[in-house]
Amino acid sequence: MGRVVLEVSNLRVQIKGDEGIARILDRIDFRLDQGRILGVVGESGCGKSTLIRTILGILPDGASIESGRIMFEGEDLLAFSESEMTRTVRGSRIGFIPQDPYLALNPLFKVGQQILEIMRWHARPMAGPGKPAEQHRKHLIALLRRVQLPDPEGALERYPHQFSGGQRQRLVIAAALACAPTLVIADEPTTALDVTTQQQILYLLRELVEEFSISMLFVTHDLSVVSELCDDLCVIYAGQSAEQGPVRAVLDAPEHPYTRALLACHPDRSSGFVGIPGAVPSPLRAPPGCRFAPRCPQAMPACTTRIAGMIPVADDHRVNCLLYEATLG
Amino acid sequence: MNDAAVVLELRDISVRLGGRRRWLLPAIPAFPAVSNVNLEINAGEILGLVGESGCGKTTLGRTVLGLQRESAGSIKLNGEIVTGLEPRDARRKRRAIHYVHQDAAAALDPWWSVGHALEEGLIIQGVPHKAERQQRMRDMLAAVGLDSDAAKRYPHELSGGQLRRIALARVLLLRPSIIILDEPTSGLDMSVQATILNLLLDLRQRLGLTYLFISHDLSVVRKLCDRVAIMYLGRIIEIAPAERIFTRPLHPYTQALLAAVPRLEPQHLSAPQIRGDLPTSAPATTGCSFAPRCPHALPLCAAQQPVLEIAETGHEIACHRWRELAQ
Repeated sequence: MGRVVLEVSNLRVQIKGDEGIARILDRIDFRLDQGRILGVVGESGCGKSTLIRTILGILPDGASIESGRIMFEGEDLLAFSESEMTRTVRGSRIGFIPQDPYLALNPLFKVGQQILEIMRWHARPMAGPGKPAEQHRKHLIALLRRVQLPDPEGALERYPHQFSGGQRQRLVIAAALACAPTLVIADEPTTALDVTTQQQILYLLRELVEEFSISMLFVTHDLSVVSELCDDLCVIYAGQSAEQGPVRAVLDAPEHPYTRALLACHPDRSSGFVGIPGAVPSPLRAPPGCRFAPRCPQAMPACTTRIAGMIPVADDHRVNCLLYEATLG
Repeated sequence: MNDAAVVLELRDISVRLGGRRRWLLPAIPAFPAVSNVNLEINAGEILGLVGESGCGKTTLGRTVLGLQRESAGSIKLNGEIVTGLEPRDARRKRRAIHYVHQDAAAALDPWWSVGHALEEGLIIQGVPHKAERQQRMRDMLAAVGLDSDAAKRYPHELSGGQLRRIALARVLLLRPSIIILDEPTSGLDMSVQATILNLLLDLRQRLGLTYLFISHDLSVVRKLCDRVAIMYLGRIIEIAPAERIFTRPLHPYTQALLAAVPRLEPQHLSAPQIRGDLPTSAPATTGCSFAPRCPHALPLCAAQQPVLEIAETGHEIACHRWRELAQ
């Protein structure tokens, strides 16, 4: 396997609210290797956004990290100070593609101005002649041409509302890549798009990951998008890692009861319409042990008291389920 | 399905939106949101209306409902013409048709309890006795799979799936025979979506409903609908039984749309068949509206509008080249 770019282990995050303390993330474990796309899949409320915010160091007030490590290129991001994150990580070494590009762009400023400002703060000095501002401009125009935005020079002088949804997504992809990051985090970047546009964007992302030799954390709720785009997959349920492995291994032979149930719901797999009985527990009243236990057809008494931790079942395929503890020996 | 009675018939429906004259300035032309749509819906059928955002599916739904006035054409409901009326009268004539909004949370008033929201419809429809209204509400909540406790709750206390059930219950209380479902599962998780779709199938059976199912989620449409109409920029470009649309699509746009759907089973992410985005300005009036993005377009396509022709019983297609391309 390649070099590890991002490794999250035993991450626990809690948020204090009016109604008490909610443990939003409870033992998240996954690993992203160089040059690969890792899909992080979970249903709404499973902690996907909190996970992204923890990695980027932008947790909301009241949230605190209880335990865990986030190793990024050999350094623990949790040990970084706020100003170190701003100066050396966010925007420069980690790029971010948001879910809603319209909310991410300021409607009052020209897009060129906005992206060039990011570059002014975060881009590393470039080789070659010219002032940095001119180099940045040239680099950005080349990047916009690469993401197939029509008329890149003219685009810099236009405002966000003058672009279509697909074009805005291309703009924020270019913005995420502008400072040559090694890791790009994408938060459901295609949910708001139509299927034909979604296909174009997914295809573009795939090409860019290879071309710029970046690694990508692709957060989504859509298993079919993961199947088309990603190399590896990590399934999260109610703030707990359920299963991680190569995409085909997990989708073709899911090991965790939750992954199996989730795949059985998918219209491509089921003949009728199948759901999962019960509901996702509120993090305020999460059951102890495995959080899927109350809905799990294979739950054992021990499931309600503790969780297994990631147990390897094959090369790079790990499951967080007590059913596999016996195989561990 | 062929011998079933036609409950709703649309003939040459066109809707133009916006447009106004300005003093001393050139007029802003109206935007043709829906153009020359012909559609028949049979009793008990689920007709899927599929297209990308901005293609006019919601406008067509609103026109059928009577909220939007058609610019041309006629609509027959159970054999009676219900068009050519002011919106208020049009709505009154079309009591049998109801509409379930895409965003259930936005469709409910956050200051009203669910019971209050449900009761309002019954009061407007003139059910005089409170006891009867309460009874019908309890029955309907049970029918959509909720406790009668839900009536005391407020929208923010309910989950996405529960809100969809409330939105359905509110419409079903009015005893419609045709329901327009606008993206009823968008934004729901896969495991919740399945329960809502099952509920829709179950209710159709029990209450003898007919659905116009507006959606862009093709995997759901394939499973749920009997027939599917594909719209592109305000026109229906292909219509066929669901299984046929998915196994033998004829229109290049339908083919590109189906190829773009991500799938769970192994396949390589294919290069997009069509480039560019859906145009947002008014489409070219002379030729096929898909011609500028179509990989098979000829000069003829840009010059002349193709009309729907019958490819096979129940399968209609609007494309100049479908015969050659089918080979």
